[in-house]
Amino acid sequence: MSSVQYVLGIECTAHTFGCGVVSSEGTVLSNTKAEYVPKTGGIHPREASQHHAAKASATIRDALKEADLRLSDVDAVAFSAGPGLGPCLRTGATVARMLSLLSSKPLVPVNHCIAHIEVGRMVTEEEDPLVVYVSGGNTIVSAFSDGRYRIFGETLDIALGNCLDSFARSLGLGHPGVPKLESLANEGRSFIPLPYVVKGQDVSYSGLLTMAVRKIEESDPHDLSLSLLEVAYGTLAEVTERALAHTEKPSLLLTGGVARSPRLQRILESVCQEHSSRFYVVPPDLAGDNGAMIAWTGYLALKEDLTAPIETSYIRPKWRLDEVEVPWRR
Amino acid sequence: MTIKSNLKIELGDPDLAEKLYRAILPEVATTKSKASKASIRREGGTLTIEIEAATIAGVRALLNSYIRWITTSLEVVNLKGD
Repeated sequence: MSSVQYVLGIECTAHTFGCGVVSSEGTVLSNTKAEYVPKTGGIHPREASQHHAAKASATIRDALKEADLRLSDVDAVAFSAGPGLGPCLRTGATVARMLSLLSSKPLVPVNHCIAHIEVGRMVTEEEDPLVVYVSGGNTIVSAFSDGRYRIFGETLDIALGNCLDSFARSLGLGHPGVPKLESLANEGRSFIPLPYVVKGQDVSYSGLLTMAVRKIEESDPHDLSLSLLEVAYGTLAEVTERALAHTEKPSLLLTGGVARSPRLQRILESVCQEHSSRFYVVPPDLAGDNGAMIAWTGYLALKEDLTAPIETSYIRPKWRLDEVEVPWRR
Repeated sequence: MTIKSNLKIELGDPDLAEKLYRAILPEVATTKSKASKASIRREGGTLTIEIEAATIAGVRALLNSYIRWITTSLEVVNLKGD
């Protein structure tokens, strides 16, 4: 009898419904997803949840097919229980409960932020990095200490990805905003002063976004994009460098959807060089929200018997990273 | 004023009805608010969901949520054989 275990993970916190299957050996067998892209503006939670409900069954079927497994072959069903948008989380949780009941396999709630970190540790095989997690919903500098991922800096208001995507929409760049913004910025030549806000170890992007949008009419879009990215990434690099110096971690792991940004990678890599630290970036297919990261973290939790009874498998829309015990890293 | 709506789903399969009931039950507790609330019960192969809200819009919103969860859960049932 094979000792390899398989975990199916459901990601459903915001714009993506994802399903991934991973093995206990750390192999991603499949990682399918369906992304909700609003016609205008940002994510509408109800519309996103309707999208996910419509795409769930086909996305899961594709993941099982790609993994060449049947539902009965999986050893557990993991799902993103939070943080995230309530209507989306409820859709994902309901689907995951049903899969768990149909397969008679344990249900494992997973913290979405921890999943972004753990999938990065899995693919880089880096044991104890300082983590910079940047996405549309989160901006966190974190390091593991005394049984939990502690937060050594975060945004006080909107996330980095939200700031950049919102600005990109204001420029009429459409989706996905950050790569288009970076292309514009590459042609920029002059720096336009914008609010550089760091408070202690935290950053703030709300005022920066407001000011950048106000300057659209009067500024060259290339210069403005360049300035916004330099300020936004610069504040993050500042708090990251202090965290790196304070925690003395041997490496830095960049994860989350905005980790795909070449400009941010270059800036943080230079920070690492200053501190003789190794620099790692999560591969693009695992950087954004995905089911494989939920499945892998679900497997780590399953090993510690961190399963949940169906009846109390509630979603947790405001579940902070530093609230979660991480026993698999004892 | 309170507006009520009852949704009865006759699945004809007590086992399936039980699974659907258990999959949705955690949402009943966490979607309760000052403006609206719901309850769910199973009798044999039939599920009954009762929704109460202060406005028609509130009833419709909660009803849509439950219908969506039920529809998606029933679609997932087809994966059992995959």
